[in-house]
Amino acid sequence: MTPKQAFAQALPALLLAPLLLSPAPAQGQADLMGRWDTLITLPFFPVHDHLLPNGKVMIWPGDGGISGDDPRLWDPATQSLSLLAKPGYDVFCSGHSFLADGRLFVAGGHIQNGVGLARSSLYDPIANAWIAAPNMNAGRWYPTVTTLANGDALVVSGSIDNTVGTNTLPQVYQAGSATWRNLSSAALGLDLYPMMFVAPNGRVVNVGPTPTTRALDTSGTGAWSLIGSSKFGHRSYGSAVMYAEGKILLVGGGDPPTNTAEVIDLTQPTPAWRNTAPMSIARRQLNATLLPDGTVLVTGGTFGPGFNNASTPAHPAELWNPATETWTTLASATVPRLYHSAALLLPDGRVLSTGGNGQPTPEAFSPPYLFKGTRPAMSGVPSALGYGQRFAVQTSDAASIRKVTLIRITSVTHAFNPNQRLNTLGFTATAGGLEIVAPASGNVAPPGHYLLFLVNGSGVPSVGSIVRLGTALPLTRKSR
Amino acid sequence: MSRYSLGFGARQPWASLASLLALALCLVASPASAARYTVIDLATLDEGATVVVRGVNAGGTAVGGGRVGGARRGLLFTQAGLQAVDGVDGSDYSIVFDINDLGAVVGGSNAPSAARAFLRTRSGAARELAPLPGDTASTAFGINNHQQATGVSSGPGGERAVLWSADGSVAVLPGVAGQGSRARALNDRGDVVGAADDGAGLRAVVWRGGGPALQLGALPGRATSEAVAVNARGDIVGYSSDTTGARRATLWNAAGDIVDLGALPGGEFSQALGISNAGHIVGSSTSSLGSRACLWTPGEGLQDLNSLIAASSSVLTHATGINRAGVIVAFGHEAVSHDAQEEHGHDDTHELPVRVFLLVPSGARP
Repeated sequence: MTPKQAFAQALPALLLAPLLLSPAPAQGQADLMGRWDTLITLPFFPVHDHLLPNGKVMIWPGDGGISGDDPRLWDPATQSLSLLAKPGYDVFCSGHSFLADGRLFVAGGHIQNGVGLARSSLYDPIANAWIAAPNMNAGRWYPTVTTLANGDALVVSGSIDNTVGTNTLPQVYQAGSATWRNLSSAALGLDLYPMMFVAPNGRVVNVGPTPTTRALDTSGTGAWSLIGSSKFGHRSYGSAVMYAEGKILLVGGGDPPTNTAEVIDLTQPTPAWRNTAPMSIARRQLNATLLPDGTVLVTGGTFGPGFNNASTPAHPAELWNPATETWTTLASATVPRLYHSAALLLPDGRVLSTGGNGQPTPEAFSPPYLFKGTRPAMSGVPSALGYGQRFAVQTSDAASIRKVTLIRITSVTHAFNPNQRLNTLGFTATAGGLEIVAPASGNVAPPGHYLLFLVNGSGVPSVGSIVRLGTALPLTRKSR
Repeated sequence: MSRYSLGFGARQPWASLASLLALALCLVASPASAARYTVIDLATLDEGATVVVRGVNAGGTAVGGGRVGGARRGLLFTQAGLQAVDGVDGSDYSIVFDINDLGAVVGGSNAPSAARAFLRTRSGAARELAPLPGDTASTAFGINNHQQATGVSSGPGGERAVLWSADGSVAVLPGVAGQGSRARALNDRGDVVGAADDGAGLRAVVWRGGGPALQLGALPGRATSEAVAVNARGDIVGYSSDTTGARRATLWNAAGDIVDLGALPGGEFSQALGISNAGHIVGSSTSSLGSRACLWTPGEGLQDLNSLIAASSSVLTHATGINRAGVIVAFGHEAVSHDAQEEHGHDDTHELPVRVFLLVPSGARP
């Protein structure tokens, strides 16, 4: 699609926008529209947000003259903010994902615009300590980190500098040995912050923002294979989520922005993209967040042309239902969320929305499901689960439970959350509770920490309980 | 192997003050009479993607890569306009890294399953520059006027510096013990420069006439280095880096000296990106005013190129190449009020379109 065609497609939405996009003052029908709440203003606008295994949120800034070497801990219950240990360098524009043991792996960072650091580190949330990992082959500014089925971490892309461009060498951080393995047979030019997902066959699929869809075999020295091409074209600053095992929603992005969305099912013998219903508003710089009931919440972004058009913020949230593949417009946020905004699912089922350049005031979105009756409760959730393990939870609401989901904890920046993914688990009701079956393998649920939710027949989720999936040993107080 | 000497860019208190005042005066309102370069606007590129700008050849054409119409394309920056250059057929990602005086370009582009180097002649004929036998990927970073190209080949054995002959045949450049190497540029006598990883990080190297790799060393206190350009007489420029990744512009001259080219007042991070046969060096440096395109000359030392052009609404942040006539290719962006934030290593200028310029010395022709 040419920019001209894209603009023509977006024109109806642009014309309707003045009617649609002003912040909605009414918060009346919360059970239908959800509700936004303004939170306590932060000392900076966060650019990188992470839900730690302890249920609190780690944030750090960047841009606007502020170094990223300033992580803070935000408590969702109290909104209190506290200092954290510093990495000792600027982790703005880094890539990150959680490892199997709950440590946050951070690759690259900021030297100058377009000039990336070769450094990598691990943040241990139990010890509140940063541990240096070996340097990468070269700098990476805007890389993507993906936790693999075996708990290692793949790093791709990221800019070296303005004379070489992006780092074409994929590398795997081998968590067990704290060493790098170069995928030197798989050198490839990728866009900044490419959208990567572990597919059910264990390969890592790149779905954007470039339309070419490829799968990377990370064994040995690596190998790419071609899958196909997405339909819209280049979705710069769009977003993507794996909303079910092997199923990916690709939405928004481009310039001028698009409202289109498309899906692919990687479990099919010949996966191919197909269009699904578009959002009501074209958006780029948006965030897409998986919710406990299996729906996808889209927030923020801008509908006007240009890199970061501040005059056209998209305030309404929209909800995509994967069962019907339709969108529902929800309540409008107050604060524009554009470039450098982020959104993440909290254990209590709300969505924290932060940042955007110059926007230090976060908001929390309470989806409609929080206004639809009593929430299921559960207890006795194991802290650790093995693959394929049958485990029991106690709940007096067993008869009303219709769905059990696992959502991987968030690590998000620049409109893409490489860490989140959702698994729907099989379960049976038992006396006083449920027997649930954990995901079968790391291919469908890479090892690490997840939020476990029970969802009742009204779509109301429990509070998420954090569980560790896989065989990794838990972190201890002593930093390793 | 090298002797170390203090460069002409090394800062002294009086020099810092004078330079700061000069910079301030120049950037507020550079009198046209002080302009030593005529600025030619070559292109404006979309922001939000890492822009590569290289060159410039004797004809005043620069090359690079950026996002055009959404796609990542190789680019020719000419006075007649911007031209997209495709690499291998069907590529979704291309960058042009060098152009010779005959108008032939080299670069890297995506084949379906790996990056592949390409060479495209002025007539438009393109061919792939194959990797070494058994390898899967290649990228060409430099080409000389004999149509030799240099770059990297990668595969199961890692990443290795290579030289492509004019007939397209590829040969590995003699290695150094370690974990790989990459070649970045070459001159007409076949001196290839780049870097080799000895296991502890990159080290600048030169392959003189295709001979064995010679390590060039790094500035004192700097652990790693990379050579990125070489002129006809064998002077080499690049940067040395410390453990934090901070770069310092470095000259390895043909006499064997290693020279700290310094940084602009208020700055610490600098890199040398191109060198002419006259020994004029271009690059970038941070400063109290933000990131600035720089020119180093043997006679006048380190200067902010913004002080050598007429008053402009644009800021030149990087000068990336210079030809034998002294014509410079540089890029930057429209000036914004908070440019000085860059002194902290941060700014939001990557949200601005990238402007590419040719700087032609007064009295010269591009």
